[in-house]
Amino acid sequence: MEKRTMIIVWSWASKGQGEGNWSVDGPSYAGDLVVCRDLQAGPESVETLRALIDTYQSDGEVMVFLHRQHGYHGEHLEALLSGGSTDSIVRCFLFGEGAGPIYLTRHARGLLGSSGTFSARVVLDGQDVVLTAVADANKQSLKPNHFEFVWQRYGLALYERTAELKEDFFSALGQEAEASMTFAAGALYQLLNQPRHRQLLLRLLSFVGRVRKHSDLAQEISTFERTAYRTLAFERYSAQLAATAPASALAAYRQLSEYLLRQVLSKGEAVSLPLLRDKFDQLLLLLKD
Amino acid sequence: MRTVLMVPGGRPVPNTLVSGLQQAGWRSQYYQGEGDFRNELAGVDAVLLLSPCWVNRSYEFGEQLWYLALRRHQDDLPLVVAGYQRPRHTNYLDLLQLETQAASWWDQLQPVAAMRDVDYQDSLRPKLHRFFAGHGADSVVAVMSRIRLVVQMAQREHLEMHTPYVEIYRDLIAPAQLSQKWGEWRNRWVNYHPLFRYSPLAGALQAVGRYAQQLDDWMFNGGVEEAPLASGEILTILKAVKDTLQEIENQYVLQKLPHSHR
Repeated sequence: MEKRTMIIVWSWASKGQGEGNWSVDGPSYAGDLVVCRDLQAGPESVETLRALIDTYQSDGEVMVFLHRQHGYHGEHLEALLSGGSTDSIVRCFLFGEGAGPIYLTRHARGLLGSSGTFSARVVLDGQDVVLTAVADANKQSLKPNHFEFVWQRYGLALYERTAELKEDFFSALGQEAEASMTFAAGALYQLLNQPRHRQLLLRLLSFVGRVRKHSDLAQEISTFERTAYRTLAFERYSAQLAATAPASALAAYRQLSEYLLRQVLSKGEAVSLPLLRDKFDQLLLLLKD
Repeated sequence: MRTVLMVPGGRPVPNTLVSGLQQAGWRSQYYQGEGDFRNELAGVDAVLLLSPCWVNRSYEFGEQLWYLALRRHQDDLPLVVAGYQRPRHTNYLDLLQLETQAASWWDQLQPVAAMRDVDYQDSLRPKLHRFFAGHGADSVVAVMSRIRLVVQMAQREHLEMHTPYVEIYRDLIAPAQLSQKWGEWRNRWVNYHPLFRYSPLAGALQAVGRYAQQLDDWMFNGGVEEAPLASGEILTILKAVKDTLQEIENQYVLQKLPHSHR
């Protein structure tokens, strides 16, 4: 099996246990690694990260996690996704606001704990418990099931988050009294503009790449993420697809994205929900392959 | 008027579904997920599952678990799966087509006994499998069995051999590190059991949770207290936990699906 490396840029040095490399406990995980770095975003950090990716990508797969509060945004992500020197896959994610399965506080099989550590104190089932991803602190090794869980979840992240958007979208429309299989031109956009659908509208805009970094909309999504404890923004979806999925998936995304942009998120023409569903399903099918 | 047991699975029920059911002459009774799920089937003419369900901040499919439960306990009932996918079988209700759905659709539902070639979606059953068999020697059942063995031996020493508890504690209970083992078991438990909140085994898992709470004080104190062990209370509860988990495993993990479902 290929070696797997996670490079996690977070508050390791400023608040936590310090930078360094952590192995994964158990013979089946020999060579798997979590590389902890505490780099503020900037041109130099991208160079440093690119070099790290090249090092570990030469004999395995790499996932990079960039902490938003360290100044990272979609452009950094795109630079890292597109600048690879080998054919092997690199996946890259932005994280923060305590949202997403990488956090122990969000999922008991996560990795990141409190303040730059791999452990967190949480209340589960009314019990105050300490969750830790550390197998042996002296050997700097992590529990395999935590590593495996995060690797698997983020490996499927594009699929899962697209499937969630689809379900949430149709579910929200199902609550509407005037829900119908087709919407007249502009009617669906008008509906999505209602305050009760604000989060959904922002997610759709993010999905089609219409939320700019540091914009008010980006800020608003972050606020929703803090309260929903979910990753809601789609950072550089097409770049992610281009780096990790077959070309057919990118084509399916473009078709879906175009339909959303022209018919759903603007006045456009009438919207057919079954047709929109088919476009979602086509993309999901290709993402799952 | 016929009754459908509605399992919304943590999702809002679409308005059109509520009105469509009423127009077709059905009333909805909502699944509570408490106690023995068979009690909730009394007087019901069909089970309707909104799929996937929304649980632990993600979408999960639990269709096979419902199929297995109904096939075993009431296979004359139809299992309707409702969702936003293209219809996958005769009992699949496409929520996007409700407005054109004829009321007669509800009269053509097939009982579970007739649904033998259905591609039910299920992401929960593999998780249940891991819950029982995963982690090898550290599976929930294996850890529970080890704890029970220690308690069983300790109780026998105390009641039959009349060994002073201080000795039993020193030689048997303290080395077993019950507090640590219980903590690990608890962690695994809280990771898994909320996933099955909208499944037919929710009530049984709730019962295990209640038993576990009764054991918390004694276990987290490392079994230092004599009375609960001497009275047989601890072993009785552990046996109840084991029996309930065993029943769940037999029914949902070990029970084989018809060939076409494997």
